[in-house]
Amino acid sequence: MGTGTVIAETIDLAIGYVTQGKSRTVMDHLSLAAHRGELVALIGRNGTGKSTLLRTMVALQPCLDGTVRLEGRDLHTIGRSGLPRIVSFTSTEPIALRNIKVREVVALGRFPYTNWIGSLNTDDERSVNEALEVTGILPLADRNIDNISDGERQRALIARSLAQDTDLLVMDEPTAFLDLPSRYSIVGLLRKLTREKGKCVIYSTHDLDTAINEADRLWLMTEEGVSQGAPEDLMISGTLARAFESPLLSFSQTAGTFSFVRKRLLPIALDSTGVVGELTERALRRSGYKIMPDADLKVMVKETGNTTEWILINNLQIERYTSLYNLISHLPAGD
Amino acid sequence: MRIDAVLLAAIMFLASCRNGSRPAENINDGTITSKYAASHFRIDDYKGYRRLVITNPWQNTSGTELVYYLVNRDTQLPDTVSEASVIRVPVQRVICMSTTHTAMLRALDAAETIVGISGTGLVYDSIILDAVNRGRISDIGYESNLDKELVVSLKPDLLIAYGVGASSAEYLRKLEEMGVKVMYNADYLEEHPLARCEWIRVFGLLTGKEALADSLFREVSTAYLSLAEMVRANVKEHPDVLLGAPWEGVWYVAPANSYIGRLISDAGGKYLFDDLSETNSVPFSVEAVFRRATEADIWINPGTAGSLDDIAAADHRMTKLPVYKAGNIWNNRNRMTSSGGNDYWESAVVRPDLLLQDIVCIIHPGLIPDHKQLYYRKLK
Amino acid sequence: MSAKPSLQSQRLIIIALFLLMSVLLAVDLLIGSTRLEAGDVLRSLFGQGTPHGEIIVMQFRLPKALTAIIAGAAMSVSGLLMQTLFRNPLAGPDVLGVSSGAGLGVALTVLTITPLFSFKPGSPLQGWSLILAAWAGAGAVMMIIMAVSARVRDIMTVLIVGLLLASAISAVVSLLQYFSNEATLKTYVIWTMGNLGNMSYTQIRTLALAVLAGMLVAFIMVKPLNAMLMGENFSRTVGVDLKRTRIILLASASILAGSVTAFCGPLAFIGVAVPHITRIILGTTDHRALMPGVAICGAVILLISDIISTLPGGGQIIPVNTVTSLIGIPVVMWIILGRAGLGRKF
Repeated sequence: MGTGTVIAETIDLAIGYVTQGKSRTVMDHLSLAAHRGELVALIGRNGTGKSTLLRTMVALQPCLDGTVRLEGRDLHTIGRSGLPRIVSFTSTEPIALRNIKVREVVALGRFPYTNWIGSLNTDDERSVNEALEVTGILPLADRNIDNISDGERQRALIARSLAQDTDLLVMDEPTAFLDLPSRYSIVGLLRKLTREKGKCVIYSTHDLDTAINEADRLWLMTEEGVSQGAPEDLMISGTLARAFESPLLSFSQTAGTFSFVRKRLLPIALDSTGVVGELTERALRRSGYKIMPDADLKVMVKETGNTTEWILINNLQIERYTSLYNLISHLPAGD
Repeated sequence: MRIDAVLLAAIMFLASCRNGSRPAENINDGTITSKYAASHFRIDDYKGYRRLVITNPWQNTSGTELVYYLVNRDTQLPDTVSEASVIRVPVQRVICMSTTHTAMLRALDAAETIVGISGTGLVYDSIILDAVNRGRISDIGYESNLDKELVVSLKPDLLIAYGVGASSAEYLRKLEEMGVKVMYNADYLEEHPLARCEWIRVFGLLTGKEALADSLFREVSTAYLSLAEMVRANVKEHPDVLLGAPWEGVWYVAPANSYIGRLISDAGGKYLFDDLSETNSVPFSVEAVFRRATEADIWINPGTAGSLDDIAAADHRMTKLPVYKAGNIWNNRNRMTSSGGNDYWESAVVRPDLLLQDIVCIIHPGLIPDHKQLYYRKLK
Repeated sequence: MSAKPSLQSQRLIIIALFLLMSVLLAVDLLIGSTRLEAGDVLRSLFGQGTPHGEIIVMQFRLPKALTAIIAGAAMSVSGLLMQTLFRNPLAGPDVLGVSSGAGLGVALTVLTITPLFSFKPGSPLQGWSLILAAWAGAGAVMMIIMAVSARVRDIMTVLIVGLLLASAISAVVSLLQYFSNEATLKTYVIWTMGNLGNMSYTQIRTLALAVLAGMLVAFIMVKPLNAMLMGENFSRTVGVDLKRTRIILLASASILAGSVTAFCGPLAFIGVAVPHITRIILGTTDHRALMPGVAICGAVILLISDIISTLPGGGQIIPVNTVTSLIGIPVVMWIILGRAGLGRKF
């Protein structure tokens, strides 16, 4: 469950850009840590600098101030040939290729270890096969990279990172452009890597749901800086809510989700239990209602055997509906 | 072509009424056959003026005729003639776009009429060069690069143009619009040296030195034809002659009917490609030419080569040719200025008889005793 | 998609291409404007043929064929390097402006009164003034490109500078052409049509040495080239020194293309089309197979072009650039129009 020793840390780090000799700081005084076997999700609104932070940590962009330490060693001292054996990086760069097999893509992860022409020895082949298996794409190994689904392609890139045999994997938006099931499966894979292989995975994402539900540690980036901690820590302190809330969105601590803020809520009473009751409550909320026990308008849920019935009581009028949709469409419209 | 034939017939019919002068007629008692006649111009005599008709003055055209009326300065224009096509003679200020034209004027002792030349740097003649240096003759530039303002400011009576293609006539049309009289010279399209030389008669008319021009032409034709006849009578062998030079893998081979081709045959030589009946030079591969080139006894006009090393530098395989090993290679660079002016393009056009002498002596040395090479030089 | 060749069949294909090249070499030696019988040709190769046959075969046809092989291989490898470096399927050796630089050197020699290099008659370098001028021009452009590349981060900037340089040089050459007379103009234009047949054995040796140097460098870069297929970010994080790699690739491509252009004039479309043809035939983007494949394929295509350019018969020839364009342009069109569009996909 993570909390091994620190594998990556930033100490008072300042990140930004250098253009034409002038440096522009995007964010500074960043002191963050990630541990062996830990899944770290870097979240934050667009444009805050998530990419810049990750790229600075793998020496793709210069540290404007402060230090980055990987496996206890300062980034500057690691050098160009040492770095690939410590950390692997996957970005959103598109692969503009047609005639390259999945296996060949993964094999390129062995770049730091192969000979001058890039031939693989038995160790290299073994790493590649393992990587393909762990990511579940071994059956696709001989397919063309542009002939598989987006999710499978992402897995191939992750396999490539794995083949590089580093204890630290850094990924910039690995779930971008993926559909919902794929997003979940990728994050699930990342988690598996931390649990079964002891890797530390630091990845940035826009997908809050999976981050909050699966990551061991969050790095939450706002304009003021980066807060770190368990997802629930950040929820308790309200940092998470504050980071994303807006006049339109509110964060539910208990549900761990965002919902739209409704301006005007109509009162309604609900008499129900169980799953159907929860879902009815959800539907009513979605339709702009607030559950108030003493409201004039009342809904009763009656489950008999396999059928469910919704009974709407409006003062003395009683109506029965067989689906939530019908119930809702006959309610006076909320917000 | 049909119009030409009709006109020709009309002229012949009316020959008794008008003193029509067809090219190469009435000269030297008919020893000149019309096959050497200039085919690109014809002069018709009218009462008080001459009509000059120039046909097909540029390449790849047929049936094109340009008509000029040459009227004396103090004569009134006849009503049937429009001002636009009139050239007042004798001309006093002339611009020449080719040094061949200047050579013809020079031969007629009319060089003082020249006020402008295309490319004064490439003139050979020393009198003209002197005038250039004194500022009496200006450089007007080449073709579409012509300095039109300068041309107009020189106030020429006539601009003698050298038209490579119909498209280059555009800038000349512009000049005509500005009031400059333009005459298209087609001498360079004549295939026989004598035909080309005959254009001196046109210049004679322009400068009012008709008689001089006619007698000059008569002398030159007589000398040329008698030399050609002498060669034909006395020569039994016809050495094989190679022309041109390779460049970057291509050898542009001149056709048999070209200017130089005729000179060679008149001089008693056999041009290696006399079976080539094209009208323009043909791009052959060097390999294709090489075969025949090995049979050459003499090599004439190898491009711009001035020495045997030049030839070797352009294509080292030429050193394997027997004609190269024998060193029997001649180029027309004997009379040149340091800046590239070549008398071959000037006086040689006016004196094809001298040119023929040179070539006869190259092909049949000793046939003309005590001849000193004028235009040609053996390459070392 | 199981129809793609494996490593084993890739090797077989390369061997087959090599055999094809040998056959084409023989054909190129057999055809020409002079009719020679095959036996004579064969014997001439060993110094036992008729005197005429020997001259034709050893002085005309063999140098031309050898030049076709060397030049075809060099231009194609140069194009491959450019396409990977700039991640652009339309890139070729000319994007660097190297062939334009060579053209400028030649223009300054042919179209002006004082040529760039002139040697005294009798000097052993006399036939080399044009070649040296072209080489110098190409070299100058190469220096500029490398200087820009060392200073600039984005490879696209280097591409744009190369293209602009090529245009600027074109403008200067046009100016020189405008002020020249017919005869010198024609000599320059003939040079631009490309010529494989004018090389002495000394010149072929020199070209071969330069090409060998360029190819060796290119071969060493196979591993970083493969990494670059995955993008610049990946390359850097996996240990490739991008700055150094770029300079080496630019140098290699310039030496290859510049040398060929200096000796043979600009050869059109070979550099762009052959890498694509090879990728299709071999079914891979792996430079370990592509490098030798492209070289041999380039030799094959240029031999074919040379054979076609001598075909008209009767001794007349088509300029080799016309033939390479006729082959190369449909290939480029097919890249753009077919197979899921341009999309920057190889």
